[in-house]
Amino acid sequence: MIDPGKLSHLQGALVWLPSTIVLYAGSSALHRRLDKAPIANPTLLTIAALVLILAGCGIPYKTYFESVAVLHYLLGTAVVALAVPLYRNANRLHGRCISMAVALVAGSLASISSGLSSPRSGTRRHRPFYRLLRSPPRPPCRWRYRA
Amino acid sequence: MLEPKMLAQLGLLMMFQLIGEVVVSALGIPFPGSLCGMLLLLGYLYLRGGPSEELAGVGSKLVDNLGLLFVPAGTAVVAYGAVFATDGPAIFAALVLSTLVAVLIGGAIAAAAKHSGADVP
Repeated sequence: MIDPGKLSHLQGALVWLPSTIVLYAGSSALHRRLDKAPIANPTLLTIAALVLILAGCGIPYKTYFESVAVLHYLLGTAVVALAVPLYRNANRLHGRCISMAVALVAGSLASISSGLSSPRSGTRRHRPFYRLLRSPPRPPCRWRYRA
Repeated sequence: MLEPKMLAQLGLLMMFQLIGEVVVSALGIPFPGSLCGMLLLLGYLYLRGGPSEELAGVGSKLVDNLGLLFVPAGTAVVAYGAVFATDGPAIFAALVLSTLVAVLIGGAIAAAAKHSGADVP
């Protein structure tokens, strides 16, 4: 049986960065073994496993996030790198920019409004979406990469 | 694993990320800094006439592992336990519903625009 007290000193990049990467590698292997079934999405599996571990051991999310902040930073770098495939496929976008932009904006607005107007979300007692809007589901830690 | 040239290109990507973040912070607009960096890099690629082999290589290594990079942000659900305990089903329903609506409306509009030939060059 895991004693949460004994695990509380396990902090920092030393534990959570390798754990995250190993869990993701394992999930990816499982995903491939299951013929890439969408339900076995490696990101989903890794997050589920980590949520169980963090909640089970009583580790605050802040502790976890601080040790894997480098991965979150690299997400930004990967977004920048998306310019390369965008550049390479620019000819395929040619002539479709307007319809794609309209579809993207309309789809996003439809998604936001339907999400906000779902049952219970508009009542006074239950406003989970407005609560999430005020504090969006992003890492609740102030970790900014500033020079 | 990373040759010196690829390392330099990783640094270049991070510089664009930094510049994008600085631009967004300086302008004070609610726009993701890394997306601004992506647009700046896109402009740079047009000026340069395309990415170098090393830049494309290091870029695809990052993009191939995008799923891993989303884990820290996704694991943040653990910090919203109270919200999910009270409103979990409603949140789940809204997520499924709004995703379906977005896909249907986005697809319908894109298809309509294609058929009308609105912006065929």
